[in-house]
Amino acid sequence: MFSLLEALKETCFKQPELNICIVGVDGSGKTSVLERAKGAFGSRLPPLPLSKITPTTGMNLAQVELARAKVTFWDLGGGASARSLWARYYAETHGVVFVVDAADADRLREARDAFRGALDHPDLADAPFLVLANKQDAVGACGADELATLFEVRELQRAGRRSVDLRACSCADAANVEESLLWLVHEAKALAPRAAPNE
Amino acid sequence: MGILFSRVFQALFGSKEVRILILGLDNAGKTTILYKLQNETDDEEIMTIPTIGFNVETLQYKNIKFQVWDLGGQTSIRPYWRCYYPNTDAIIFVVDSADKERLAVARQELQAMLEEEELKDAILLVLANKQDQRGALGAKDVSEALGLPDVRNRQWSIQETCATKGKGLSEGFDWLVTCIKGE
Repeated sequence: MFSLLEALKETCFKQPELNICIVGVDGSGKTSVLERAKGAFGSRLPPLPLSKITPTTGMNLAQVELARAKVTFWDLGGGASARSLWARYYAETHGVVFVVDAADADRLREARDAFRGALDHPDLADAPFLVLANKQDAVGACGADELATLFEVRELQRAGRRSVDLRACSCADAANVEESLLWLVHEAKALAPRAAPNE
Repeated sequence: MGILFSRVFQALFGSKEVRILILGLDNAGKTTILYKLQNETDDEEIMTIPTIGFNVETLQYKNIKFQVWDLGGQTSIRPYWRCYYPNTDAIIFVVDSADKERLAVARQELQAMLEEEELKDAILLVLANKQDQRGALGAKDVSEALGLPDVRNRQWSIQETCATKGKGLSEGFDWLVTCIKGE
């Protein structure tokens, strides 16, 4: 009897588990996004001050409860050689944050190519994508509209097969990071049953 | 009452000692790393002998005290590593990047260790050591060989090092300290 109740409780209240990958080229601000997520959504570990962040050569982690789900953020190193490791996480990924340094005009194309590579990966065919045009606080930062054109986000949205959005943000000012991540988590949660064939 | 007082005292002034294990196969460079961490400015070459048992040192770094255990890596003594697992904050796993034949063994040892309940919350720093040796694999190849991308519930970082010259150690250790201290 007790185990029956327990099982009932499991089905009714069990929180879905969502994995969100944070990727993007090196120096775009992925770990800053992660630390902002830790701060905003209350993780077990306290967030680091952004000034203490060093280039990631591996994976940083945040586990939070959000939108009635257990959400794990994987922040993956973005150095050119480390990028090939991203795909190893995709099979278990329910949503992707792609971070772009909007102020680094020289590397926008590189960022776009990396974005296309992730978007077209078969393991991510159902995963929603959030492109964060980070560093809006920097002088000369490219705005959301301009970047959306470069990343062909409007076309993707119009085609309607993918859940993709591009939003401007600034980790330094904590502007629009939290809201954007919330959007992604809600999307991922809505799409999760389809997006988790490996579980 | 005394306990209460000492707790309050510790919270105010004390630094909790952080416990770190340095693990890896024999001849990976664990002992050299321990003593290089301890004498950062010392350029002298460190001569070590294979560790039977363990070496332990307390290091002070940015106001935190670290108790660092360097455990012998030979096959016969690896089963005893687990005696040291409780209350560990971080693992430094050292590999000889030039010893390609034994990377598979290193992977087994590492993956078995990561399964341990007592190390569930420990963060992982891998040092791809002996980068000065001919044919040493880089960080990315060592990550692949050790199966690091399969690690899902733990923060990890990899650093290329050359312990005899002290190269790469402070970068790796800085990451550890930042993660543990959270500031």
